Amino acid sequence: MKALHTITSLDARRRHVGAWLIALSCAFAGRVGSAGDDVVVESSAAPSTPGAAGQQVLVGNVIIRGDGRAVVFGAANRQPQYDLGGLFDQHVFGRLAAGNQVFIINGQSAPRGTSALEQALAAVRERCQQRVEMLETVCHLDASQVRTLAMALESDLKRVESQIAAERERYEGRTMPATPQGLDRAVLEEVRDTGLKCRRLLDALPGAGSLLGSVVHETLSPAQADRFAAWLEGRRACRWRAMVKTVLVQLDESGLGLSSKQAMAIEKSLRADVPPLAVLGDGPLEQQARQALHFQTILVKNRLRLRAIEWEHLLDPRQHAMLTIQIESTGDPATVERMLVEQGLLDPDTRRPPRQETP
Amino acid sequence: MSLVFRNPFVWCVLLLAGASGTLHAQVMPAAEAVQGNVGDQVVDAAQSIGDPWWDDAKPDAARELRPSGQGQQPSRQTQRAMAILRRELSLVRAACPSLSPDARAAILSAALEGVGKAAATKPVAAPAPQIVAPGAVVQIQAGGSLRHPDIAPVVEEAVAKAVARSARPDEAEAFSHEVAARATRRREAAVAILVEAVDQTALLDESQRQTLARALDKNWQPLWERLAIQAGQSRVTGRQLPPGVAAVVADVLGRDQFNTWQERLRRLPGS
Repeated sequence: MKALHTITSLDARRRHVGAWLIALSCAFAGRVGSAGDDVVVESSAAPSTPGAAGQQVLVGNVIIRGDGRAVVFGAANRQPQYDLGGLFDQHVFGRLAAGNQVFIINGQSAPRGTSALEQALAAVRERCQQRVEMLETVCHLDASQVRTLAMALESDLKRVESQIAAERERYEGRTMPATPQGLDRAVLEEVRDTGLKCRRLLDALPGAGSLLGSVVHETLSPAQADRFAAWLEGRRACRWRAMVKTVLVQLDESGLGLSSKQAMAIEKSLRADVPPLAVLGDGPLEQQARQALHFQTILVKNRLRLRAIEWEHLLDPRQHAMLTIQIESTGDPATVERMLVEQGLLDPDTRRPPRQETP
Repeated sequence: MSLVFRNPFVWCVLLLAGASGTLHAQVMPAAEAVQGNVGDQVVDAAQSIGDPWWDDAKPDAARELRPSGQGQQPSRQTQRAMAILRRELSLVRAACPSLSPDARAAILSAALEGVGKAAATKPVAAPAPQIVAPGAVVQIQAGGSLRHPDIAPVVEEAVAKAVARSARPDEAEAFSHEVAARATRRREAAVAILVEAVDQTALLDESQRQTLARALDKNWQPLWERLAIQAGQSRVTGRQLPPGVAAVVADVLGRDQFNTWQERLRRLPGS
């Protein structure tokens, strides 16, 4: 019986499910526990690419790993094992985790962990430094303010590093049989939950929960805070303007045939209320241009639907029916807005005053 | 078949399907839910206007472009040309709601000739450029890429000439005005996309955003219009600006800020 399953690194949950599928397929394939000790680990000619880093394919008794290496097993005396440390790394670091090896066959495991943590922290540091640079440029910070923010950033990075390292220690070197008999679902879920908690620690920097996030509010003068808030509003309006104009052109291209009067009325209606777009440039969508584009289109169509009362009388029945099909395909408006918040396109905290003044 | 097209929902679906140019499978389930005979709809979607306002003015129009073989699929180029035609006729209807049936029939006849001419253009071998001319279709094939000449101007010109010839002067002027307004909307959208793309990383202030928008408009290149039309397929970022934009940005930002911006782009993840 041949089995073919793929684990991708798109997100941790899918990886987890994929790992389960591999474990189950091992059992169904009838390979685990068969006679012989012909465990072979060999290099394949396939080059390792970033895109393939998180991928493992199980074909019969061969696991082709994301790093291009093929692992052939058929031994009775060595069952495939879950490498809990590797699994933890995948949940925290995604494709940064070296080798992305979830399974250990024949007791071998790729080196990993420390370098992935270092790489992840370096990326977070760069992101936070860009935030400081943004504040410095927009608010004209003085040297002492920049120093204060830099110290807060270092403190955040050390805290996160030690927290993740402590959690890693709990799983480093631990394995668990990847067979239905030896599998403990609760342990896998614990590794996943802990890994995702650590992932959130990385993603949260330099957000509101970080020291840097809170020190910013205390460091900026009222004038600087106002300046920054105004700058963010301008940036938000700039992005919204581009999104609205783009989607209107696309609708027109699809055959809507809007007259200039109709187009102006719809654009005016949409631009009157700028949504709380996340515009600090470090959201999860920023690195995924195509996805960002997709969600931006959904957002505009959703807003179009919410404000339909303001423009629908301007369209003829043909245009109205056509537009309705397009904008209703996005789903329930409230659900869509919640989803867009989760995706990081909208920031619900935006409506909050930028700085709480103390009397 | 005309009964099918009297249902606004049906022709809306077909209009959308045709507008995609390729009649992707993702559109078809919607059409299938409305009418069971999907195969006929695919053919008709590429051969009828899908709007009774037009189809009733010239009932035999659908047959003019029907391929000789029964059930034969129209070429991709014909589908693309028909999608452009539908878009143009939709604008004619919006701009000239009082067009007489005779004028509509005359415009449709001339427009279909334009479609036939556009559909007959042959693709030429060419490397796929990063940004192609408005309306062009790049087709990747084994052993190289084939680039279809931009057929949109052929159809647009056929419709514009037909309107000028068959409509009343005030109607023709109204259509001409709408065509110009649409071009302006595309241009404004492209400029807004470029300003936002630069703003993502260049940390512009409001005055610079406005100055950059004006400068881009002043130094406008027709190739940039494609940004607005293709914006649903690729997102423009500071690292992937079309030719000619960086020079305009450099003028607006000045050397120091421009260099700082370039350095920031180099430090971005994935650089």
